[in-house]
Amino acid sequence: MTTRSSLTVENLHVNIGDKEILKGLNLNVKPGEIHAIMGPNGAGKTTLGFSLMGHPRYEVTEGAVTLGEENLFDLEVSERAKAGLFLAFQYPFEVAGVTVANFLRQAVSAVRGEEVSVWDFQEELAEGMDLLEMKESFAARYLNEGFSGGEKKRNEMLQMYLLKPKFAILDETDSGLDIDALKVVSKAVNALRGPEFGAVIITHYHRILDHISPDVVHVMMDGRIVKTGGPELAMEIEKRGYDWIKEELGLTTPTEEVK
Amino acid sequence: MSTVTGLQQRKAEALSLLSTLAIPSKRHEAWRRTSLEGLEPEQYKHDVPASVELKGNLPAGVIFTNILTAIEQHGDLVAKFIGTLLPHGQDKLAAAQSAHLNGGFFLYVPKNVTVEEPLQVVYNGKAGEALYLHALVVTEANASVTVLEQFEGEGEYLHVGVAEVFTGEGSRVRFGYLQNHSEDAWSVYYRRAKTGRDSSLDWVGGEFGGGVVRSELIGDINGVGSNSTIKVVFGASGNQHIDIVASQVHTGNNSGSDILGRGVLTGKAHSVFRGNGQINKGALNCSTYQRQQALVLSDKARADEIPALIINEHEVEGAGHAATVGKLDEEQLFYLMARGLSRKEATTMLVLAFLSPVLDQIPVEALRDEMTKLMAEKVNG
Repeated sequence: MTTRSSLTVENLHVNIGDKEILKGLNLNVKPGEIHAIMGPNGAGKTTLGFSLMGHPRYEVTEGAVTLGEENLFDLEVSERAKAGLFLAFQYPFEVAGVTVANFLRQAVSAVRGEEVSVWDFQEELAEGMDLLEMKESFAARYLNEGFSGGEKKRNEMLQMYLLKPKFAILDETDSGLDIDALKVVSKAVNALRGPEFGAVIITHYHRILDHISPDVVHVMMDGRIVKTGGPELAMEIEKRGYDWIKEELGLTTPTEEVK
Repeated sequence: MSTVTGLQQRKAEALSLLSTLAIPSKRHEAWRRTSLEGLEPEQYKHDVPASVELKGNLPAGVIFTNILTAIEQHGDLVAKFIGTLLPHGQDKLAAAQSAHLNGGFFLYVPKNVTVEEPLQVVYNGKAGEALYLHALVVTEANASVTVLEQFEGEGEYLHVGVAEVFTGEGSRVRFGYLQNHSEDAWSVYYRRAKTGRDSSLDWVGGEFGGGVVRSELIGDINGVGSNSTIKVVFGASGNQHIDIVASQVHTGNNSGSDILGRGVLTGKAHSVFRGNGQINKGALNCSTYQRQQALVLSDKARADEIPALIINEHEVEGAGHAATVGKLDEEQLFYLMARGLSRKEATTMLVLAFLSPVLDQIPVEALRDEMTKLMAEKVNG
């Protein structure tokens, strides 16, 4: 494995409307590594995920992102997914009329570039649902429609598990989950963990990192990565919050809520 | 006087009416959004039989035959019903249909007979021809049948259709259709129905073809305790104009109705969907509901969704209507594209999901698949 299939973010600036949210963010995730990004509300964590995936509301004004040899910003949204990028949505959208099974089979077919037969897919789906402790009836339900918060997150993890991306960004997948659901969600990441899979886990809380031990922990504030360390950094944030980091860096700018 | 003579007289009357009547125009409120300007019925050949293909397995006693054959062989029965729901003096097109009738079918299901498999009728329009078609459906008490009409064609032609459906007491009729006329064709189809006591009538159809299309489904929900549903999908692209009238008029006590219309527009297409739920004075404890929605995928397409509720009776079980015109949800599209679906694939998936409440009701799988395919083609055109 070479560094050629790393996920590299260089000097990324992103606006929403006239407001700059990311202000020169740098990040390098090597294949096989799991990074955690922690930070207070309004730091721009969600913006990072959406802008990498290519949401039209987020305008990239400067910087570059490469996934292996691909320059992400040269690719359409679906091409980024095909290149191996996955974003687990914090608030997945509901799509009435499309069943989980039908959607997933089409998504898996699109990403693999070949039609996966209904029959073959049944087995794959059953295996993934088994891993994530989901009831069989789940597959026939409409995508996210009427799902509880925990079900939506499991469904995101099921998608990730079946699409087998090179890099996954988990945008607060742990938020609002009870401990059992958290364990299940962690299982999906740990099942994919290996030299072919890297992940960026965006979170407010330390507890998911008890189940998915990260290689690197970053602190994000005001649109930048301001501090990087090992798992012990997450422990320290859990104990002491973020103010000490602000003080250490001489940051006094109040952070704003950005949703 | 024999009934055959009665039918001949009816034809003669229609012929004499032709010169006195006009083609429906925008001056009439009901036609205000659809123009038949440029339509000259005389320029289309009507003196050859229309291409009509009938398919189905018939239990004993069931009549399912070309309307022209039925007039010869079952004149009494035909004469009792034909023209009783739609007077041919309504306008010039109705008169022309009556005068020049050259195809269609007659379906008669006797008491207590269930026709298990759907019966199918396929019409094929050819350039320069006029199809003056009549669909006449009569069921006796406790009968049950599903009939499907399919329209195909090539080139510029004219279709004027009249359907009259009479459901006998406690009977069940499902009338499905797939309208896939040539995009150069004119099509005006007047469908009328009258429900018998405790009977049910379910229309389920898809409108995809035609250049200028007027498709009416108007029911007299007359039988006490009867029920009727109208479920229609439409997909219009290019310069197509599709005008659908779905109306349930309650005249019988304790009757219920439901209208569901969902359509998708691309290109410069224009659709009109008029839903009407009406409860007449004296029809007690009825319910009528309608939901109509259109998705507009291009800036130049236009969808007019016009719902109406006319309630003239105080004792109402329930009534409601909802109409919306919208675009695809960009957030949903993004979510699907983030999973590897191209914009077109994601659009197709959302469009089919939007239409699924109607498509799922299509009683024959092959027809449902055909509608799905036609819709996908419109989206990806």
